Amino acid sequence: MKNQDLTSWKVEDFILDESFQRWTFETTSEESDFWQKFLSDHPTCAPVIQEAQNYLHALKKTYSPVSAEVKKSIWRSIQKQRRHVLRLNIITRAAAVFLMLIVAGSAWFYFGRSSNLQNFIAKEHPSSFTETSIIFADGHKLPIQGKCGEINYRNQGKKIIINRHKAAKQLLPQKRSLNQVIVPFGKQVRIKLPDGTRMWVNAGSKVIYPVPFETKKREIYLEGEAYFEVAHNPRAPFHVRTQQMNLRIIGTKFDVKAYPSDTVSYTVLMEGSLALKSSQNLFAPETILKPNQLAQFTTESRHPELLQVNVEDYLDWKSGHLTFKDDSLEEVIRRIERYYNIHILLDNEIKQLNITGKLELTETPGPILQGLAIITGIEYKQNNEAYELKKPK
Amino acid sequence: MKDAQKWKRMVDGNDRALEDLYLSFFDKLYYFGFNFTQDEQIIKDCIQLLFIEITCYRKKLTEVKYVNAYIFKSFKRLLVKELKKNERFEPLEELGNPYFETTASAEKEVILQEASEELKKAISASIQKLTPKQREAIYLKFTCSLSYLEMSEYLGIGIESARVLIARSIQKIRLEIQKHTDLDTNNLILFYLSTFKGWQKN
Repeated sequence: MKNQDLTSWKVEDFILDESFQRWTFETTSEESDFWQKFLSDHPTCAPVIQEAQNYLHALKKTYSPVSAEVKKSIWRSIQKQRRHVLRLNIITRAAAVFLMLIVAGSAWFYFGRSSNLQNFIAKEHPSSFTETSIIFADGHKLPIQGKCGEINYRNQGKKIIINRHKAAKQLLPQKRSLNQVIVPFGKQVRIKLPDGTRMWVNAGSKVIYPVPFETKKREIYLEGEAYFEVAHNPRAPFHVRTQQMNLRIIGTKFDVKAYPSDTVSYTVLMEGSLALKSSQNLFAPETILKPNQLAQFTTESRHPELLQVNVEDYLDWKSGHLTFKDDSLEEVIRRIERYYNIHILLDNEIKQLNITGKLELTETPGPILQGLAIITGIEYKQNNEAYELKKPK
Repeated sequence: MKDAQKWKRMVDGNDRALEDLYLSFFDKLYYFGFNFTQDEQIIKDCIQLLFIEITCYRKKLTEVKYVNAYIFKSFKRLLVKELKKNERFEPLEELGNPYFETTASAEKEVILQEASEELKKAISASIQKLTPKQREAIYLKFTCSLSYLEMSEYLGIGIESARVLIARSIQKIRLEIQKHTDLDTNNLILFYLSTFKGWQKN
C-alpha cells in the first residue's frame, strides 16, 4: 500500500483496503498516523477518502447489544453442561468404558428396537391428499395419477418409474433417504422396492421406508393397510412397524391392516412365516404366525389374539372386485362385511341364494348392496350405518 | 490479535478468557444468525452449543489459526444442522448460500448516525441485488470485520478470491447506486465536502 501512489486511488480502492478499513472503524488503529499524514499532505484526496469512509460506515451494520441478562443465563447453561463433561473426564477410562457399555446397552434396549422411522412421520394425512403422492426426504412431492398407481424403484432407488411410463430421478444426498407414500381414500398403489419386495397399499394409508434399505435390516413403517410379498434375503431381516404391532418377517406373503382410526389392527399370513409382538410392550414375547392365521390386536390388548381364517377374504381389496362362483348370499355378504368392516342384517330365508359373478368394489358399500338387491330381487334398506337385506313382501 | 490471545489462553484452560470470548462474540453471532432464520431460540441454542463444543474440545483447538473464521464457520455449521433438523431450511439452488437475507435483521439494527441516511438506504437497497454469497461476504467483511485471510478460511477459497469477491460486490453496489443517484451526484459531493471540512478540523 505504501509503495503505491495513493493519490491515484479511487473510492473502491480505499473501501477495499484493509488498513483503511481499520483506520475507519477502529479508534486506536496503528495505521492512524499514516492515514492522517497522507490526508494532510494531499488535501485534494479528501473527497474521495470521505466518500470511501461514508461507504464503509453505511456497509457496517450496527446493532443494539443483547441484554446482559440473556447473555448471563445462556452462559450459565454452558457452564452447567460443561460440568457434566468435566465430571466424565475425571472418571477413569475403565469406568467410562463400563458406563458407556451400560448406557449403550440400555439405549439399544429401549430405543434401538423401536423404529427411527416413526420420527419421520410427517404431519401429512391421507385425507388431505387427492392424489397418491411420494414425499421425498427434502419435502418434495411427486404425484402419482390414477386409481391404482404404480411405483417401481430402479438402480438402488435413484430412479423411480411411475405408472410404467414416467421416470423420476431421486437425488440421494446421504447414502439413503426416507420416502413416504401417501394414498388417499378411493386410491391404491403398487410399489416395487429396490430390494425386489412388492407392496400393495390400500386406500387411506401411509408408508414410510428408507431408499435403499439398510444392508442389514429392512424396515417399513405403515399406517393403514398393505399386502406384502417380501423378497428373500436372510442377511437383511424385514420388519414392518405399525402403531400397535412390530412384525419380523421370515417369509413371504402377508397382509397388514392398521389404520390409526380403527381400534383393531391385524396381520394375516398367506405364505411363509412371521413373528410379531405388540409395539407397546417391549418385553412381550414374540408370537409366531402360521399360514392362514390372523393375529389381532386391539388398543387395549397387548397380546395378539390368533384366529384361523380364509386368507382370500383379506385380499379382495387388492384386485378391486369380489368374484363368486356358486356361492351363497350368506358368503357374499360375509365378504362384503369384511371388506367394508360393516355389519349387514340378512334375512334367514334368503341366505341360501346362489350367486355367481363379479362385484366391482366401490368406495362405499351402498352401491354394491343396491346392485346386489336388484340382481337377486331382494329388498335393500340403509339407515345411516345400519344395512339390511330382506326378502321382498 | 486480541481474539487470538484470548483464544490461546482459553485453550490453556483459562476460564476467564473463555468467558471474554463468549461475551465478545455473542452479539456478532446473534445478529449473524438472523440472516439464516427468524427463530431467536434456535440462534441462542446454537451459540450455547458452539461454546459447549469449544469448552469440551478446547485442548484440541490449538490448531485454530483464525479465531474469527473458526467461530463463524462452526456457528454456521451448527445453525444449518439445527435448521435442517427442523426442516426450516429450504433447499434451493446449488450455488452459493441462498439463505443469506440481509433484510432479515433489518428491524433489529440501529442505523449508525455517522453515515448519511440516504447512502445507507441506497446501499441496503443495492445489497439486495447481490447474490446470496456476495451478501454473506459483505456482511462478514464489514459488519463482522473479518479480514480477507479469515474470509478465505471461512469460505474455503484463496485469499485473492476472497478479495475479488468483495471487490466485485462493491463494484456492483457502486454501479447500482450511481444508476439511481446520477442526478443527485453533484449535491452529494457538495454534501461530503461540507461534512468533511468540519471533520478535518478535529
